[in-house]
Amino acid sequence: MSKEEGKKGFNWNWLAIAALIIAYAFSAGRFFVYSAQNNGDANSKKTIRVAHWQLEPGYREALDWAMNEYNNLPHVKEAGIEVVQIPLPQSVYNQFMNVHLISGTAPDISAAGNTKLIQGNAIGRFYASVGEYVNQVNPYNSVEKLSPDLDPELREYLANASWKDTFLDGMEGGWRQELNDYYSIPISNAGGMRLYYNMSLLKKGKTFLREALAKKSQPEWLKQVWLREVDGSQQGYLPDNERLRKWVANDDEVPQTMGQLILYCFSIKAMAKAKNMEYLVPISVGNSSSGDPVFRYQNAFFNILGKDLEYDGNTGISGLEAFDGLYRNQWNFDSKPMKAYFEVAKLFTQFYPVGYLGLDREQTQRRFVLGDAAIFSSGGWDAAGVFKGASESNSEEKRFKVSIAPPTMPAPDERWGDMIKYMPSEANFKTGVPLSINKQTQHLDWALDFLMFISSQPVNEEFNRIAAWLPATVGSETIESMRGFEPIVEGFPSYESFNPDNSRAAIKSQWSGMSKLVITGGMDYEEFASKMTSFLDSQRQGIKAYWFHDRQGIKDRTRALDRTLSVEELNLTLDDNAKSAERFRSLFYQSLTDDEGVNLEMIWRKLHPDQPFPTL
Amino acid sequence: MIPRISIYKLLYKSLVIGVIASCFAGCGSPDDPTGEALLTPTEKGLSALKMFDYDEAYQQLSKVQPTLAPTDPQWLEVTFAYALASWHRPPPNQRNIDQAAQLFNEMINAKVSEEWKTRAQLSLARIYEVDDYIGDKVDLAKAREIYRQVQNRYPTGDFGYQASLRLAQTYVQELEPKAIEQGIDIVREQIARDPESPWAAVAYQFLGDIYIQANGDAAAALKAYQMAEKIGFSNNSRTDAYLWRMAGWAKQIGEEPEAVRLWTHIVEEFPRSPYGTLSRDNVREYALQYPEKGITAPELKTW
Repeated sequence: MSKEEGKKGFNWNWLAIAALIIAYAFSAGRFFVYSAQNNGDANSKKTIRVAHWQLEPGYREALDWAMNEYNNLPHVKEAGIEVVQIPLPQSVYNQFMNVHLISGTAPDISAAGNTKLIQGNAIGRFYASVGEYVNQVNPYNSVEKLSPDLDPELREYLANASWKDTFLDGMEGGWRQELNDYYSIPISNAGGMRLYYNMSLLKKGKTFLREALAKKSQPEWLKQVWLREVDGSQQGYLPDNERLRKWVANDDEVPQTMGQLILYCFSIKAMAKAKNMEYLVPISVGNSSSGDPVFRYQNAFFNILGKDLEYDGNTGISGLEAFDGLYRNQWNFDSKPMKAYFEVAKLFTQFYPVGYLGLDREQTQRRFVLGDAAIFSSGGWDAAGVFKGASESNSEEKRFKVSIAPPTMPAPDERWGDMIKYMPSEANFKTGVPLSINKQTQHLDWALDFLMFISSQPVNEEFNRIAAWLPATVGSETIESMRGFEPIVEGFPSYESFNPDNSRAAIKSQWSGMSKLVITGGMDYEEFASKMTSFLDSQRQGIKAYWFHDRQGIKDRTRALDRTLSVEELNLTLDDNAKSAERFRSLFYQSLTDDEGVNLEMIWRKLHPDQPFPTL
Repeated sequence: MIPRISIYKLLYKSLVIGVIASCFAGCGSPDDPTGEALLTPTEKGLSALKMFDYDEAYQQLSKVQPTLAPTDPQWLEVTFAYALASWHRPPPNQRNIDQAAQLFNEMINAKVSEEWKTRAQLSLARIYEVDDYIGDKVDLAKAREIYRQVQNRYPTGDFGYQASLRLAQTYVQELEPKAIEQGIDIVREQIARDPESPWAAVAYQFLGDIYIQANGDAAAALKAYQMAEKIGFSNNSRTDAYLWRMAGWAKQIGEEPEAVRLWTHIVEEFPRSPYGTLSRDNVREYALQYPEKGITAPELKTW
C-alpha cells in the first residue's frame, strides 16, 4: 500500500478509540456528579431514595405529599436533604433490588420485597436492623405536633410511647422472627379481604330477582336455590322466608348471608343470559388465590377438621399434622367438611369468568370497573383504583357506586349453617408496606428520621387519607371509604385450620393441581380422593416420606437456631443487656423444643406405637 | 521472519489498554458508604458474624486469630468468634467442626476467666451432642460430662440453667421412659436450686412440654405452665397461644374455672389474639351452663 492510499482511507480504529474515550468521559462525568452529590460538603444536596412497588392510584401522590412536607421542614432543608421516590412495577422490582443490593447501589430506603436473596437471616446482610431505635419516642409525635382535637389521653400516649407502640400492630409488620429483630417500618395498612359490590348491578340484579320471584312458575335457576330434602340429602342453599324477602326488597342492601350471596350470583347469571350481557359475570376472579373467596370458605370448613388434628403443641396445624390425620382416622375424603368445601368451591366457580385461572389481578379488576362483574374480591390495596375506575368512566351510565362488605357466612337456617360459624379472625393483622433501610446507605440517620416522620400520627393519617389506604398508626382516622377494610376481630385463628397449602411441595402441588380439576369439573371427586390417597400412600412422596423430611427439616432448623444462638451469645458477651438476654432465653427454649426432631419422634411413637420412625 | 512492530502500533495498543483500564477505574464504586475499607479484619469479622455471614467472618478472623498470642487482650474475643464462625460456616464438614472444637479447647485450657471457659465448654458440648454433617458421630457421654462440669461450677444462674436444660435434653432424646424421667429430674433439681431466675420460666415450659408430649400428663403440664406464667413466659409475643394451650389442658382435666380464668385473660389482655373469639365463646358457654356462678363473659375489643 502506498502512502498516498493510506492517507485516503479512513482508519476505523480511531472510531473505536473515540467511542472508548466518550465512554470514559461519560463514566468519569457521572462519577464526579455522583461524588459531588453524595460526598460533597455539608451544603450540597443529599438525596434519600425510596423504592417501592405500590403503583396503585393515589399512593405515589400521597408519598410525594409526605416527601414534600418532609423536605420543607427547616432542619431538613438546612441539612440539604431531599427525599425522592422510585416507584417500580412489581414485575421487575425483585430483579432491580437484587442487582442493586449486590452491587451496593440500592436505594437508601426500600420495600424489602420477597426475593430469595433476603430470605431468612440474609435480610440482615443488606438491610439495617432498627431494633435499637424502635423503643425510642418518635419526636414527630410530640404533643405540639399533634392535633389539639385529639383526645388528651391519646396525645399524651403518642408523645411518650415508644415508636413501635405507636403502631396499630405494635410494629409486628416490621418484625423478623428469624432474627428476633425489627427490620422495617410499616407505613400503611392494607386491611382484610372484602367483597366489592357494584351497586348499580345490585339494583338491577335484585329487580330481576323480584320479577323471577313474582312469577307463578319460578324459573329453573331459582327453584334450585331453595333449600329442600331430596332422597334424604339436602339440596339448595337457603329457605324462602321473611328475612330473604326483606333483603330482596331493599335495593341498597348487599347480601348478608352466604345463601343470599349464592342467590344473588344465580340471579346475575340468569340476568346476563336473559339480557344478552355476554361479558357479565357474578364474581370477577382470576388466578390469584388471595382474590378467590372460595379459599376463605376452605379455611372455614377445614377449621372443623383442625380441632382434632393438633398434636405437636406448636401454634397452628402443620401440613404433617393435617395429612397424618388421615391415617389416624381424624378425617377422610368422605368427611362432611371436606365434601362440603368442594361443593361450595364447585358452586362458586360457576360464577367466575370462563377460563378464570388465566386472568391476572389487573384483568379481574378491570372487568369489575368496566361493569362486567357484580362482585370483585380483594383487599384494601385495590380500593383506590376500583373507586376511581368506577366513578370516572367516560360514559355516565357506566359509572357506579361501590359498596364494601366482608365475605358472607351461612345463616343458621341455610345450607352449611350448622357447620361454619366464623371466618378467620383478623385480630392479629399486620401493618403493611414495610420500608427497610439499606445497610449501605450513607444517610442512615436521615432515613430513620424520614420513617419516623411518615409514621407519626398526623402525617400517617393524612398520607393514608391521600393514598386511600388504612393508616398504620394509633389514633389516625380512617377515611370513610376504607372503613369496610378495618380488621374484623370475630373469627377463629386461621392457622388452626387444615390448610393443604402448608404441606410439603410434593403433596401441596398434587393437592392443588387435582383439586383445581375437581372444582372446575375436569375430575370427579371420587377420582381425586383415590389418586390423592394413593399418592399419600406412596413410599417416596407420601406421608411416611413427609415424616422423614419433616424431621430432617427440624434438624436443619435446629442447626439454624444453633447458629443464631451462637451469634446472640456473642452479642451478649460483647454487649450484655436485658433485651439480648431475653432474646437468648426465648431462642434457647425454641431450640429445646425443636431439638433434633426429638419432639417429632416422640409424637410418632405416641401416634404409631407399633411402627418404627419412617426412613427412606 | 520476525515481524516488525511500529512504534505507532505499540503506542496505539497502549492507549487502548490504558483507556479501557481507566474506564474500569472510572466506573468503579466511587464511595465506601460503610467505611468498610477503614475497618480492621477483626472488626470486619465480628461485624460479619453479627450479620450471620459465617464464611466472611471466618475469612476475616483467620487473618487475625493465628497471629494473636493468648496473652493478647483481643485473643479471647477473636478466638471465640473464630471458633463460632468455623463451627457454623457452610458447608458443615469434619475439618470445620474439628477446627472449632480445637479452638474451644484452646480457650478451655488457657488462663482465662471461668465465664469464657464456660462459654467455650457449652459450645463444645453442643458439638458433641448433635450431628453437624452426614457421618458426624454424636458423643452423648462426652457432652453430658461437659454439661455436668458446668453444672457443678455454676449450680445456679444462666450457665447453670443452660447446662442443666441441655443435659436433660440429652436424656429426653433417648425417648425411653426411664431416661425421660431422668431428664425431668434434672430440670426439677435445677429449678429447686434457683427458682427466682428468669430461666426458670424456660425450664417450667420445657418441663410442661415433656409432661404432655412424652407422658400425656395434662395436669402436670398445666402446673408447670402456671409456674412459667407467674414468672413470665419465655416468649412474650406468644403468651396468648400459651394461655390457650393451658386452657385446653385445664378443660381436659376438668378444671373448668381455671380454663375460664385463662380464656378471660386472653380476651381482656390480648385484643390482637385470634384466640379471642373462641375464648369469649367458651366463657359464654360456661356462664350459661352455670348461671349461679354469676360469670359475665368478657367482650372483644374492636378496632
